Amino acid sequence: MPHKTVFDQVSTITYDYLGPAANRFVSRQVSGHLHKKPEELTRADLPGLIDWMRLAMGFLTDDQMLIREYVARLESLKAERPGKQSGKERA
Amino acid sequence: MHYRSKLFWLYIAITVAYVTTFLMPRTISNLPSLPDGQQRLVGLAVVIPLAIIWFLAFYGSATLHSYAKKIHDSEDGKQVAFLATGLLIVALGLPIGSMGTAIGNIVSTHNQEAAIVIRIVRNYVSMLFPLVGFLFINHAAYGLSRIARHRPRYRDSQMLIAVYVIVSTAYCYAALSSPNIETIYHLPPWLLMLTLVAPYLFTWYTGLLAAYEVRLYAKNVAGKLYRQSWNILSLGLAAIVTAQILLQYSVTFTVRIQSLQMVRLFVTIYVLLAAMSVGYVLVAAGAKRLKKIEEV
Repeated sequence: MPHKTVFDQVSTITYDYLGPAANRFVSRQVSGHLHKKPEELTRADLPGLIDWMRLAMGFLTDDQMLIREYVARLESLKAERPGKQSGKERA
Repeated sequence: MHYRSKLFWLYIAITVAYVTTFLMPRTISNLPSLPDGQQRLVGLAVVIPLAIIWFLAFYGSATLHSYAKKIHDSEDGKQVAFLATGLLIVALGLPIGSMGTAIGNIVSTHNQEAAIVIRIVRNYVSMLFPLVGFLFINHAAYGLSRIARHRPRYRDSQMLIAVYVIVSTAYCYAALSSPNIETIYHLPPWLLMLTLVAPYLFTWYTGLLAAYEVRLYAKNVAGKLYRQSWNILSLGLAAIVTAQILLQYSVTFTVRIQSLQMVRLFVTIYVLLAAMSVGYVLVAAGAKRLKKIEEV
């Protein structure tokens, strides 16, 4: 089974918050702030990307709990080995 | 010129034209018990909130249209575009209907027969805009519910039909038992039922079904924030359908509303106007939140 790219993993988490807009949202953050193509996103880019995502989410909602939950899920990707998926994502 | 600018200038033109009708002699003949000066005052007290509602209606559909443009290549982009077009057509029907009434009132001072023709045409035009608009909205709602892969539940469908039957039966009764049916519609009862009441009933069913299907999409689509925005939008759509129904009910009660005391008359008119504005405010709020998701 092919491994999920980092972009796919970030998009999968974001999908739970932004639904069909998730892919477009993540693509914009990656290309707009990191000046990379989505497929070029690596695990090393995650700290910077997460900061931008936290900021962007702050524009969309005042629900701090939701933002913290979202960021915590993204942070968990940093610790993962390449290609490893969380139980929730596998399900 | 941008779409939003075009709509804005169209709104300004319609509002100026409508306000101008109030400067002409005896533009309001709906309140014969009041002297001319007070009639104009009542008219202006309604024109201002009406102009605000038209603005909200145009703004709501323009915001949804610009959101649709941002997501035009996505799966739901086409449906949102249909929704925005439908809402714009419904919104356009509001000032055009009011303009028809105003023109009919002006003409009635010179030629009663021409005024009757204008009122009949106005009644049909006012019926056509929501009819076409809700057909677009229904098409969009059907597409969205297909994307969400959720068809109406059996119990909900039965409830929807029950509500529709009660609302439409009561409307038929109200329209036919109206003491001044001839002066309101200028049509024999059979023609009224066939060419005005029946299309309105179809419009309402289309609208109610669309509001339900958009609600279904809003409840089942993925994404907590995305879902919240669609929830607001779907509530707005339901409010617009409800306001359209209330508006037509109020037309059948025109004579009773006109005979109310001034304070009660204003309360009745403002409740109606408020019901109309709530829907467009909610649509604009939902569309703005959805658009923001695509901008940050």
